[in-house]
Amino acid sequence: MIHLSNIDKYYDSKFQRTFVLKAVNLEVKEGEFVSIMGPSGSGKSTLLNIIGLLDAPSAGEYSLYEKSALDLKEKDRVAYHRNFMSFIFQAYHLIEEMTVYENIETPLIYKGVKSRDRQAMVAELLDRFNMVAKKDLFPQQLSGGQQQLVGIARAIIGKPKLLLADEPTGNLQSVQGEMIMETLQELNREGMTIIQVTHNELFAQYGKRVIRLEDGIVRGDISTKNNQPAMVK
Amino acid sequence: MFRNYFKTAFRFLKQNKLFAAINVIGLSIALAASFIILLFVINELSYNQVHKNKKQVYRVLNYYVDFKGTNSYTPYILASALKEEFPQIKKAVRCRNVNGLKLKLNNELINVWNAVATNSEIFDIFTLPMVGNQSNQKLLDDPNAIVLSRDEAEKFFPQQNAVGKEITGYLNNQEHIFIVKGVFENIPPNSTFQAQCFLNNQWKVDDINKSFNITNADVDWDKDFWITWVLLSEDSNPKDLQKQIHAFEIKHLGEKPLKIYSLQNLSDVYLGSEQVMNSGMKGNINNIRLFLAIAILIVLVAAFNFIILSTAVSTGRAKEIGIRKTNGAPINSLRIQLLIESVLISVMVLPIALILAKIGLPYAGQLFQTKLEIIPSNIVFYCLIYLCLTLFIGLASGIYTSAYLSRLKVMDVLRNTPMSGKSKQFFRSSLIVIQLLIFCSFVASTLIIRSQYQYALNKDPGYINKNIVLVDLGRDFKGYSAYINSVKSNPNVIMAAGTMEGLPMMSSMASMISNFQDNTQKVKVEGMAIDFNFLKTMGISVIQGRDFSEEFGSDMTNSMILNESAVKQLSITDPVGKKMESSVIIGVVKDFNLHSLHTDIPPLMINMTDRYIEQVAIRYQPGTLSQLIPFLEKEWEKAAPDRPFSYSRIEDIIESLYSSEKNLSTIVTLFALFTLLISSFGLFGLTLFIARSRTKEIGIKKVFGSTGKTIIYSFLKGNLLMVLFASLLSVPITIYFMTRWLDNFSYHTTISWWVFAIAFGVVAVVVFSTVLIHSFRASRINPVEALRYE
Ligand SMILES: Nc1ncnc2c1ncn2[C@@H]1O[C@H](COP(=O)(O)OP(=O)(O)OP(=O)(O)O)[C@@H](O)[C@H]1O
Ligand SMILES: [Mg+2]
Repeated sequence: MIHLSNIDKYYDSKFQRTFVLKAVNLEVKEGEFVSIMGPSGSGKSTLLNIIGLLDAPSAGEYSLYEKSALDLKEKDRVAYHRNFMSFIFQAYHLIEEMTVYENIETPLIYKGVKSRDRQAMVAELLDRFNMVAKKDLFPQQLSGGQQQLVGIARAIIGKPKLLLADEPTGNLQSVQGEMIMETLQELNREGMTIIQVTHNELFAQYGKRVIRLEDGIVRGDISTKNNQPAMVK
Repeated sequence: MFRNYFKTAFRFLKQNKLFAAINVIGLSIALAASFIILLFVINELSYNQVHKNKKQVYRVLNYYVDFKGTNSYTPYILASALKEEFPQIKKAVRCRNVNGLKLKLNNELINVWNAVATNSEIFDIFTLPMVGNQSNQKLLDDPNAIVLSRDEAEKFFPQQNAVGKEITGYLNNQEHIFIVKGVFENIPPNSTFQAQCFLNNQWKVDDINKSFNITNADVDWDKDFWITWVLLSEDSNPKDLQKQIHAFEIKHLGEKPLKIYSLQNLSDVYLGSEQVMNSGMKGNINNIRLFLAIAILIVLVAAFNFIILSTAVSTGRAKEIGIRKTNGAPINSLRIQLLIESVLISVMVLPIALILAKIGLPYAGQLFQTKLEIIPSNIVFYCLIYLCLTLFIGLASGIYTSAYLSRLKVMDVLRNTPMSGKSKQFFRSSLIVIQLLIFCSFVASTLIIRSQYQYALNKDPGYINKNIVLVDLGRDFKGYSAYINSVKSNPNVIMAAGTMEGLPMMSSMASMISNFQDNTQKVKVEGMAIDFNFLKTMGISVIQGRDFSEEFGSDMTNSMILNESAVKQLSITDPVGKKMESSVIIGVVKDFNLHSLHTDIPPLMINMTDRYIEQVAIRYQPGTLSQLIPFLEKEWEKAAPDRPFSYSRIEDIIESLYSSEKNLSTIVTLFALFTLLISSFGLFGLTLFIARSRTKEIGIKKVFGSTGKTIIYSFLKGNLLMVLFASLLSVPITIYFMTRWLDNFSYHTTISWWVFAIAFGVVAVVVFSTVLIHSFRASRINPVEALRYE
């Protein structure tokens, strides 16, 4: 599904060129759950942003379903964001002026889903995450874990094929973090492709595959014990 | 302590350069505009305040019972008679301007304008300080005395002390030697009493005696040529005096006096003399009110801007303030901090506004059609009011902002509770709506004033209002028929006729005539005196009877024509042939607008005259005026070589009737632009701020598939609501004020809806283009940048 070959990302300053990613090759198949790990500043977020079409690589090839995803028109990129992929952020990034309900609803509005259908879809997700009682609260009135659940709900309500999560558990205690991870795992089992960035060795193991980045170079690519044929239907 | 406040305040301004700049520019424009208006208002209100005795100084007004009119001219003897008979009158003088005084400088005769013949006591009544330590008593007792203003003294005696010197002058066609008895400081322009030089009374008495061929102008109670000023003692009551004056009138003017004297305080002379003829300089209190209202509106718009921007910017600091509070900062210190910041900005604005006002002053003077001077004696007032106004804006917005921020609960601030944000946004939006409302009302009002102006110019007055010139004959011009006949010989002249005054008439003469059915009821009927063919020349149609005609020998003396209104209001049935005021009614004309559209069509009687023909109305073939004028002038030089040729086009006369409306529309347009400019500054700042504070939200939305268009739209939507709301609200307000204004006219347009549509359009365009700039930039936000750092 995702094919990165020889991706470079660098920033030019006056006297030197700083590489953030260097000759990254990566293949992610549909249904995979990939964890990206690495020290701070190693380029994890940059890689994720490139995959998420938020940032462009300096060199290299990137294709989605064998179609180049570089130099996309604004219209096509918006279409990918609406229908194909979705994001979860470390800092939740909920819209503070909107209630829980409205936050979750946002992507559906952009997809053009009718109001009644939206209601049903949001209600179903709220129920699934046990957040029905909180739907009229504002993000600031929730705990960190609850906020991240809202972030996940918002990310998956449009049924994306690809979920990109940049340290989704970074701001959370380990109990809340585990809950989030289990949710992601469940989504993966239902068929969603997930790429997450994490610092937590334990949480990385929820994925089927761990990629290690160091100074922008892929240093390792190992399957976890989760990646057993028995687990895949 | 305070130094610390200032330091942080400056640092804050430095960090928020853009907002500070927007605030400063908007505020200085607004203040400059209101400074100019206030300069005008202060000057107008300060008239005659320079005279220290103003509370006790009165002018004697003269009401003519017959003519129902008040004049400021009184007989010479009045002053001395009043002073003799009323102990409470301490001083009394009469004044009259002397025309044609010339003084000699190096063998050259130079005109002295504004020379006043009066008594020595004039110096006790008005505040006229002398130059040097000279006494101001008995200066004019000598018939050859002359007292000069500082300017005149410096002109005729450069670098010398003029006092005691002789100067040769030329007056009443004779040469005289005057002796300079004193020099007084120039009278400031905001005094209605003006003089550049004083002479003894005798000069004017002699002059009047000579022109009327009499010897008693100084004791004749009917020679009303002088303005009488009196100074009352401090403890006297002018109301009591007024009552006693009636007996005085009977004593001097007979059992049934035809003149009624009254006292007018010096303070009322400038603004309270609308009905007084020959009053000299007059102000218009309505104009002052209007300008004051405009100044207040502009300041309001600017103050709103200031509040909007400072609350917006300070929201960014809410968090900082919250944190400071948790660290135990006392609420008052925060308040003072914010207050100082906003006062600091407003004070920074003051010099800029003053410079802008100084630059704009001459242009504004042209616009207001008055000279806008900085009067030295008013400088304290200007400074005080300007400073107060500036501080007021700074303090008001500072107090609001600080009260708002320090009221916030720490938890709300730190958690950034959105509810408070929403209610504040509502507050801000309502301020913007008020600004836009003021602007919309200005725009709609201008358009209404303009359409009334156009309506007035184009409405059919009932006579031909184009392609007519009026040539002035002057008084007692015997050869007018010959001139008219020679004019008629030109093929481009369709018709020409003499009249006392052309149409539209500026003056009015009226007499009271009894109703034909009910004797006791008197109707005020205006008069018009014309020559043969005038009605035809003006295209006024006779609907009953006939026009004046040479065929009837008696028309010149015995016939009259009425208009429809006269027939109706006098209740005359079958008017033709009836007698009225010793004349026979020979016809009735269709009603036409005698004067401007401000007044109704009055009942009118038209008589013939050959003695008072002072104008000739000439109707010409359209487009031939430029050829016609030289011809008219040539003929004029033949007919009246000793008289100047002067003419006016009827189109110009009609336009001049409405020049104040034209002016008003220009002024209102200009201030509409000002409010727009200022409020768009505010809006610009605010949207910029909102766009910045929404960076994160926009970033998130883009990540989830929002397009740039949706984001721009979301910005515009809120503003569209505000614009709509403001323009809707402006409808009743404008209608309220403009119907009252239109009531000044007996004939006026109706207010049409497109006026408001245009106002809406203009506001919408300005607001949207302001908002569009920022929202476009906001829509291009790169979400990676926006969301990277938390
Ligand atoms: N606009 C930029 N200009 C220059 N350098 C940049 C820019 N954006 C990112 N970088 C650099 O790229 C490197 C990689 O950043 P990135 O955010 O991908 O790291 P990361 O692996 O996600 O780190 P962390 O674990 O701390 O989130 C960092 O060293 C950062 O300083
Ligand atoms: Mg990162």
